[in-house]
Amino acid sequence: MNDLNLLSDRLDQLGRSAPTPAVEPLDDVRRGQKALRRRWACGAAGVATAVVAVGVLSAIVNLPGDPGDPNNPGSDSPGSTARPRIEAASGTVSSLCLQESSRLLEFGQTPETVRSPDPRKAEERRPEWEHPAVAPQLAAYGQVAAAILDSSGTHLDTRVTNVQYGCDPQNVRLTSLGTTFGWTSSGARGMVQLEVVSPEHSEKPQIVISHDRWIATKENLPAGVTKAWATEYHGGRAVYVERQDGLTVAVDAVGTWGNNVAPGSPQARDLPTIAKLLRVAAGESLTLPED
Amino acid sequence: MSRAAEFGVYVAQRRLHLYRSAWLLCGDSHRAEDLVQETLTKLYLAWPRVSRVDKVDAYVRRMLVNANIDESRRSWRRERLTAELPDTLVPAEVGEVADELWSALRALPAGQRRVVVMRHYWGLSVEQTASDLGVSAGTVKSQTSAALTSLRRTLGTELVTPPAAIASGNRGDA
Repeated sequence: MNDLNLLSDRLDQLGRSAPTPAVEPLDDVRRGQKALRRRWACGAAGVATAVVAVGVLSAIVNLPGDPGDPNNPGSDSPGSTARPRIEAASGTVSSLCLQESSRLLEFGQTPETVRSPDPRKAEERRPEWEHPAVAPQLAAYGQVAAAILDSSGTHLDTRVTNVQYGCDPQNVRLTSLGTTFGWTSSGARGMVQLEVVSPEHSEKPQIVISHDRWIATKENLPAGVTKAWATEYHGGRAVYVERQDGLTVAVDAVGTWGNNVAPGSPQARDLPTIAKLLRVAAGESLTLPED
Repeated sequence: MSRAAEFGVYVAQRRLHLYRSAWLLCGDSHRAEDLVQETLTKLYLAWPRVSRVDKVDAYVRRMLVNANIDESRRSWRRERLTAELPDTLVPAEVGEVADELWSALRALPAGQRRVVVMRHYWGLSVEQTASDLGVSAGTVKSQTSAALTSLRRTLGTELVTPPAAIASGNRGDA
């Protein structure tokens, strides 16, 4: 046995002797969930929950480990520098979904470690909420919210500054779409968050996952709503509905903008009522765009 | 199964190995735990994408290495103020392992320590290591050679002498 094999054995043994800190098993899950909620509140660009679409339409995406990929001999190494050739028509839902899947090749890299210049076209570098596939829909979400929640026009900021979406791996269409709007009241800034999810989406709306103690609401349901739930929590309230068109729509109103608010910071008051949030969730314009 | 449940299963299975890897990379238990928490938080955010590609461990490994690289560059984030340069030996903590290999590993510059862990703890090839680090194979080879030279000089016969009880079992396969 040469000394390198012995080195490996000794490193293995050394690793086993590491002083392991006591950790609460659910803490990592909680940190992830908190980060997910924080991502919604930030105006950061391009954070999505798209699923990789492989071999769909005429797009060719090089993933690590793809068999028979002559450009990726190191199949165990993620983050191949090969760039995908995206051939879907620009401005479509398909192009948005495929644009996101190409980011898997840069997964795990930080700006300091990405060596290659960013070859993405100009349209792929713009904020994703301005993508033609979703921009009109997101604007429609704002219009519905404003009409129902803020007839005075003094509270709701309908400018779209972020987007969250998910794509169907088989059909390269959106299975979820959402955004947040600012809500100003009492000199403080809160937010209203909207999320539309199709039955094909892989999980429940993030708003539903983020809260508990949901209570079924059975009376005075808006037209088009088959089931509804609501929850009141410290600093806000939320609803989600199942609709006759098959979509699940969630709306969340909270008195703070973001999760890193300093203790004692003022919170927006006069948040929309549960009834109004339900009416927003039932809004016919809250749908998913298609190509 | 929900994202939280799937992720929780993965963490339960792999967290200890991730921590050990981070500990060997950082040379410090507190920074190692920070690294693991940061990596797992990023993994949770990306779980719907990553979990569908059959290389979750490889992605996590890469995130861990990149986080280690970023952390070593951000020396201002170190909690313990020191006049030492970032890549110099940190005094051993109370209760830490008394092992000459551990001391020798921590004495290596961060880049050399990284390639030693990747090549000889995770068992990666030169090409895999180069790809993960975003450097050339030649750089990996030269860093490995320099690291092993330092270890041999520091440990002498220790490197070739089996420890009193070598634990058998799977080598790190992040």
